[in-house]
Amino acid sequence: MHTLKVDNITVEVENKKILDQFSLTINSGEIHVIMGPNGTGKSTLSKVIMGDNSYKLQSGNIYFDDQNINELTTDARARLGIFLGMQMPLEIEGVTNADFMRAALHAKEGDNFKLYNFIKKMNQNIELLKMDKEMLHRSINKGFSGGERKKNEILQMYMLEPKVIILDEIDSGLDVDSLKIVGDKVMNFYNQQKPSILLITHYQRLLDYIKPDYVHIMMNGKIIKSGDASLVQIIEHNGYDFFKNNSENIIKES
Amino acid sequence: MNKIIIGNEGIIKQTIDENIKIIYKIDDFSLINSLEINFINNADLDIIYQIDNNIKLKVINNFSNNVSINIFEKYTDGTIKINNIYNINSNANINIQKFYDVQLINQADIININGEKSKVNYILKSISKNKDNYNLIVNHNACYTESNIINHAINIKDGEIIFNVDGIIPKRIIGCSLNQNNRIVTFNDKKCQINPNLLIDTNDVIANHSAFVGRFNDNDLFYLQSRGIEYNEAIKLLVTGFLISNLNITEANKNEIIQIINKYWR
Repeated sequence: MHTLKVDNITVEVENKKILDQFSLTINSGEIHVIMGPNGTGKSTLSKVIMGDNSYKLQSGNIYFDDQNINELTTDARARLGIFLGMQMPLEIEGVTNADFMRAALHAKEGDNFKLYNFIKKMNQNIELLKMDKEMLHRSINKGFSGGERKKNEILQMYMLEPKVIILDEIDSGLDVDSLKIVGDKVMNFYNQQKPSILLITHYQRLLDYIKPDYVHIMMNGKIIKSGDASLVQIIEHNGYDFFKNNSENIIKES
Repeated sequence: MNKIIIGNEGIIKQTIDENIKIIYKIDDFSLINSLEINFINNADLDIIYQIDNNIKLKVINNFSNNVSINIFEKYTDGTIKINNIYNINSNANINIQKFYDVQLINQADIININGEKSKVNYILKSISKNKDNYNLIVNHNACYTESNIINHAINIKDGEIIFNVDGIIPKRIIGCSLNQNNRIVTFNDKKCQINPNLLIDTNDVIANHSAFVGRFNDNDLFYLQSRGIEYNEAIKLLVTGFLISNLNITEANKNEIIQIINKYWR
């Protein structure tokens, strides 16, 4: 049983509050979804949890189980088992996917790392995600379509087997078939390993495949409404403006 | 594989087939070591410079018509002043790849594309530790020729790098393509310069250039670290990628470069 606890964090960028006393707790086996309009702090939240140096915590704490991870570097957080599937996975010329993943697995497993096991696992997961094996020898995401990049993120998730998974708009840039593969594979991984999952998305369509336990609506750096999956339907019908117009009442209510 | 090993005293060792002819001499007056390499037929050649002290070198490479040639030049250790001249005839396909890990380098390379429909790919990779000058002039002297230039260097310790890269296409030389990609990744606060010059006196040309001086991108580092890779290991991955990418060389040569990288980035 693992828990990621984001406790009352505030993050400012250029004197503007991006996250405002934000709190959220996610346990193993729970799928949480954060939805909200653009520029409301969703991606910032994911990067702050992952320890991106571009963002500084003004106040609050982040815990993995009982360990305060505020001061941990990004790589240390990742080795604890936190994984961030990026909204826009970067292209890094010269560093091959194989070298990248081998270094990541080596960092995770240390002396227990076995090259043969790595190759076998990599091949199995590439097949599972219906990816081209040739991609292993290409630079990270170089020449990849939007869909291939997102699949590559899911491949990395399968390789690293994290305990807490944050997927930031993993559905953006995906065609219908790729969305199904990505959605199914995330759910497949969830069923096998029961990690904590935090999905950040704008659209209901990903939730056809990944069934959330909790849905949160985020605006102006904080959660203004939480509920079950039925909340998604209200968003679909009414849009975020409905919540924006009623945000003060909703905050009081929640 | 054809291979020449050159030291301070001249050619130390050579394994050359009939497709390549070599003349080596030392000019007693100027004390410049001079090497002439004539490529008659298709060939691959490794030229390994193992220099202990100072050396001045002039290397003239002559490529016959219709040849396809791959040259890999590796320079290690000493202080080198080198003038490479590449004379390319018609319909030739020439790949020049070079890697520097020397104390000090002053390079003046000249590529003369003298025959029509010839193509040259020139890739330079370097770890610079001193005031290094890399000068390259590409003369498109014939129509329908193509040059693709990549200069990638990293400066460490007291490394200061200057890239002067000139691409020249005179009047009446049409249908040429000229591409330059120059990048310097800095690990110190020394001044580095890239001076890309495209001197084009014709309308019918495709020309591109890009230049970058700076550190590795923080977002790249974040991405690598977000998969559990420690900072130093992430830097080493980026350095290796930067210095190995684009090179189409043997695994043995690649491994030797990786060993050199491991020497500086443990």
